[in-house]
Amino acid sequence: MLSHAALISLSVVFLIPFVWLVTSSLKSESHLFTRRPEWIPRGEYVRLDDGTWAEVVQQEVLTRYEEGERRGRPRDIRVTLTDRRGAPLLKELFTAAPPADIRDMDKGILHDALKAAFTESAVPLPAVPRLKPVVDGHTWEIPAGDTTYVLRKDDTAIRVYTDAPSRMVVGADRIETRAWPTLRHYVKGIQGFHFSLFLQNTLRIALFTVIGTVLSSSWVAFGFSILEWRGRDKLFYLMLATMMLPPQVTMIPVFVIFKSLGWCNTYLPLIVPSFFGNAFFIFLLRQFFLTIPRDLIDAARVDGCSTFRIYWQIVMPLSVPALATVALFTFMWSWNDFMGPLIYVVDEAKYTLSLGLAMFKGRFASRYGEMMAVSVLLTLPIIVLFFFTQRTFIQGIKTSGMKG
Amino acid sequence: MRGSAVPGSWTNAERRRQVLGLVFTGPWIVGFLVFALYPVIASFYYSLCDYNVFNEPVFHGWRNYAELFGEDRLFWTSLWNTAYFMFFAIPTTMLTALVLAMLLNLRVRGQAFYRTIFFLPSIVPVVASTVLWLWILNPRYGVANKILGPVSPHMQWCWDHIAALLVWLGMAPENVPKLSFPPGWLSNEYWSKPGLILMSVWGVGNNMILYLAGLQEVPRELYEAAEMDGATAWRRTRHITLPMISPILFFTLVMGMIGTFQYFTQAFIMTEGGGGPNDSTLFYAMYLFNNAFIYFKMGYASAMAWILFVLIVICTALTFRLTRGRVYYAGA
Repeated sequence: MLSHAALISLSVVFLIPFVWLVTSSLKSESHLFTRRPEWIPRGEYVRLDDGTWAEVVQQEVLTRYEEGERRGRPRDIRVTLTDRRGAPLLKELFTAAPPADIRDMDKGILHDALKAAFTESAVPLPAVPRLKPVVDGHTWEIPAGDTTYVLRKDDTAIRVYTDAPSRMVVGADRIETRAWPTLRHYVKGIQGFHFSLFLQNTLRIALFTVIGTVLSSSWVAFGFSILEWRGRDKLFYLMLATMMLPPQVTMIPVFVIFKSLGWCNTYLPLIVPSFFGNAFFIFLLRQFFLTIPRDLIDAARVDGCSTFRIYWQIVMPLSVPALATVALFTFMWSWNDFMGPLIYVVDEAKYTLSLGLAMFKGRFASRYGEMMAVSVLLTLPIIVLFFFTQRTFIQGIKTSGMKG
Repeated sequence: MRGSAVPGSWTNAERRRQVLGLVFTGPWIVGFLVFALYPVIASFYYSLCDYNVFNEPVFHGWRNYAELFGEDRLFWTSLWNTAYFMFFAIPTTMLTALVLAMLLNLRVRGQAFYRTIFFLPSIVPVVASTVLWLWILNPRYGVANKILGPVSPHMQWCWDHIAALLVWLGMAPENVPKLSFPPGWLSNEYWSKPGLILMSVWGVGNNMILYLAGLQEVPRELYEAAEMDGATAWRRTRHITLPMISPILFFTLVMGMIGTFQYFTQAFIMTEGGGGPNDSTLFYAMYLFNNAFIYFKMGYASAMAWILFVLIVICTALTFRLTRGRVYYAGA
């Protein structure tokens, strides 16, 4: 009973980061940055004209407007959107010529001015897409996406997000908090992050690395186990010794080699080394090959089977489980690799998912929703892979531990 | 004579076998020469040079080493950070993994389920888990501080009094670090490393699997015999379990040390290579990387790589020496 209690509470502790990862990726900003922990993804929504809901991405209160002089012209109105504490959200929403005598500038006029800013009559601002008024100027067309500002009756503006184009009555005012997950971070993460491009890059590298490692490691392991020749075991121990060599020692000269070959900013430095065999996998496969009955190989040889055919048609088919382990771990390492792409890949178009996420983090430090969404997408394939290959996986981990 | 080393005296069959052996191991041999042997030698040569990749290396003797040991404050900082991490992270992670493995080994119902939960964090891609933990450890909005929030005034009170007591007892210097609660994690130089340690504790799955495999190998009869002799649970753990899995503990200890010397990705991503705040997360491998690929001081970085190599060898040898006689190898 006690052990169950301990296991359950420890499981909860270990699961918290996962839950936090997933809920964060599904929450609106207003619920991401809160004081209390919120475990259920929530957001604010407004009801649109056609009965659907639009997520309120940002609520901005119009609190500051100033008059200014510009190039001799009498006065302009500058309208700034600020958050509730008065910090500017957009530097300047728009600058418009005074619609009337400046002393009359009350909120109503400002409201009109702001409305004008959204329509085509005002100075265009790239950050604020203009809305097309439909019918009478009270209903606006809202495009899909999230940079749509909508003005409300109480002089606040909200930024809404919808999956599909919709319509909204000016001043559709009721904002409701609902426990609905939003997929906005995923949509934006996938678009803004070049997800599919980085995914293709990652898969391309992983594919070649897996092929290279499986072929070369099994080829070499065959030479270290099935074949008998002088000096074999000495070389094998030398190979085991190289596993202890820290990669930092070889990293710099290897970089110099690849650089002098002109391979920087290509995937070759990440792929080519895998075609020379990996010491750990050679070791793993050798141990497996040694369990293949000797008689089988001798019989094949007596029947006139060439060494290459013994490798390709007898040893390889018999070793599918071990080869699967090698392929699985190579794929994982390649998928997760960070330092390799960091050193060799320069162009953003060539980034892998891992490198891309790390760089994304540096550029958009506070967009945690999107970062969490991309992290989920980076993690999910590995977890799915794990569930399908659990036994191979655990066996591989154990073997890696037993080698010492 | 079979043992002859002169190729001329080999029979045709022997020569054929030799050639085949070399054909099959050839890829690795070439790889070894190009990606291991040559780089090791070149790295040592570079470590004695002034080299920035763009120009030819200029030999200048031991100057890099002298500068590292003599003048480079950051070198010592990075060593200190790495030692700190090693000293706290390895025992914490090993103990956590051991506790989890022993709990799982009680053969409770749903063992496979719990095992999966504890193991999953260790397969999360390192970049994803780092970004996630950066968010978890966010001082204002992260879940860690949201959970710690209600208790942090008490923790502050405790820490202040412990610190005062230590100072009064003369066990701590007057300027004992002023720790703040809830922790500032990656924005506070005293909390940044504990934050990273917390993150590595989450990823103990690999070690746990190894320990669990070891525990399952321990013969049941040993426990039954001990129980009959009236040994308590603690004594059974101390005198049967731990000695029986000591080779695995030893292996993970050595691997943990080597891994800490190479600890890079997490700290690099969290601090964008800066190692902040106040160089508190500038780990050895990261400082090496920065020297090599950001400042392009390849010679200097090569010297650091060689020092790293020597340090790993020394630490491994020391561990072997210190644990001699305490690691039990069945059949040895």
